[in-house]
Amino acid sequence: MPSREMSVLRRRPLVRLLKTQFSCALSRSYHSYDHRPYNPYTLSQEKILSSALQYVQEFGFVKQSLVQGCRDAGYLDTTHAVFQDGLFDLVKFHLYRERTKLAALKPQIDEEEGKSIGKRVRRYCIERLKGNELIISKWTEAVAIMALPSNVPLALEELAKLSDEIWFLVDDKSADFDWYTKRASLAAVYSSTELYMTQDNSPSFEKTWEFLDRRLADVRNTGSTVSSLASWTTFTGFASINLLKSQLSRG
Amino acid sequence: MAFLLPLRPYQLLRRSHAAYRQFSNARYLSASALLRKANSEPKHEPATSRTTHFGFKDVPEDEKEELVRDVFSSVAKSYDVMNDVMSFGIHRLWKDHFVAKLDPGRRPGGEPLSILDVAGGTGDIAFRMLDWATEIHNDHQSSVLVVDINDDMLKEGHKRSLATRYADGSRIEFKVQNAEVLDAVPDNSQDLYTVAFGIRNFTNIPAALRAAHRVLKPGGVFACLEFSKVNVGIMDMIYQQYSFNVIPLMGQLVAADRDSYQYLVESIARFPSQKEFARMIQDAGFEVSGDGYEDLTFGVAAIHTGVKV
Repeated sequence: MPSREMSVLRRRPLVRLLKTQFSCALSRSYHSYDHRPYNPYTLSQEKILSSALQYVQEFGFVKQSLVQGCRDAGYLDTTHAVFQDGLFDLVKFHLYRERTKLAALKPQIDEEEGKSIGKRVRRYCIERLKGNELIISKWTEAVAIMALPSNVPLALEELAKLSDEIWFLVDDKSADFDWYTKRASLAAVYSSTELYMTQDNSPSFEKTWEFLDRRLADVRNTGSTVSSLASWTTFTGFASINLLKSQLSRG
Repeated sequence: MAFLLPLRPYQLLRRSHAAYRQFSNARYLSASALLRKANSEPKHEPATSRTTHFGFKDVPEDEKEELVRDVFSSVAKSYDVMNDVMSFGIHRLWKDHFVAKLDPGRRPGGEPLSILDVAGGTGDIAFRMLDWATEIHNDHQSSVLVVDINDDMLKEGHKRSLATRYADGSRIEFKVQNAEVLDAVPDNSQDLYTVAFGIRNFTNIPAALRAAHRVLKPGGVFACLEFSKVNVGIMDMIYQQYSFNVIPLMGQLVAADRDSYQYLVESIARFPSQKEFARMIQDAGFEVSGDGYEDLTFGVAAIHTGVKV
């Protein structure tokens, strides 16, 4: 059960601000971490999908993997028809499983990478990308499935959840609009690195980690550039308006 | 020619002494009901007090089966025309999608499938499934058993099968069966149970679901394609207007059988919503994935699937 302090981190910036400023005695339990972990898969679905994922290495994200998975789990060949989204259910399960594995790595990563946020974000990204290693040769098929218009919203939701998960595990304490920009930028970094990884043939994916480092550096530089640009624009804007006002008041 | 056709349902109802009693649930008063009220016929209490719905009328349970049979006897020959009228030909797309979703066919390293198609008299779904298995999976062994309560519909289906490559009857079989009992189908024998546009006509849907559960093998799939509730408000309004005003009229013009079409649109309105039906499927012992259903054309039709565990 996460501590009260940890639980504050998940909250949206405004609520967190209110909570910390007016620490109220009433406790609200409308955040996911205040409840038991929610598993959207039943036992039988998990059995079928996890055995199906083992066949993905051989067959790819095709019906045959799902059918083999059904067979191995003790069901019939026809059982695959019950999955409403078909192969996308298989992709979603893989994304869910890899994302939920990250929480268990927190103690180890905190110990190894210390307090540095940047290093820990990098580590979590690498660990999550390693989760794709076994099926990376077939991952482009999964991306194609996710790109289908009916699947895009749920696929983006999974990416958002992953980004949120990584920032949460890094103990992100932002209480303003940064909360959103951090997650958006990490989502972009992660998805581009994942795509890069599909065509990376270097030993132990060294080039992918280098690509990840470059993308994270970009975010840092862009971040500072954007904020300086924003400061410059606001200053220049107000200065110009005040200048105009003074000219007009001169008459 | 009209006098040669069997008695129309509303005529049967008027002549039956064990007649319906209440209209408290009826949103639409049929002509026969208005006449009855006007004439104030003496009410006769039916022999059994259990009633069920037949469209918007309430009828004794033991009569519904016969009434449904009569409706479909009168529409058997023009069933395709009726479907085209009711759905602008979209029913063909729905059925194609239904079969594509189920993807029947023997897989490499697997056994041939036993498919049971219930209330599939004219064989629409059966032929599609056999064609899919044969062409996509090169499966020449999977077979379909088509059952229906109505012999006329089955005869029509058998006639159509003679024009296909399944004419020898080795892969398709037609039998008269009551879906709530399925006495000729052994337990745990079917890989796939399909019912397309038939389940709303059953007298006792939970009993039919239990029978489906009995005949399926563990891991077997129950799949139902049926008209359902439109989920978008405006579309629903348009759809209701079309259903109750246009369809019976088209039935009269195209097939000279207004009452059967009236019954059909009323039976659609009476059928439970997607979520309720998914609940009923789970209560019968099936496990569903996600919501348990997929809407087609904004919910005009829906495909419900469940697996026997």
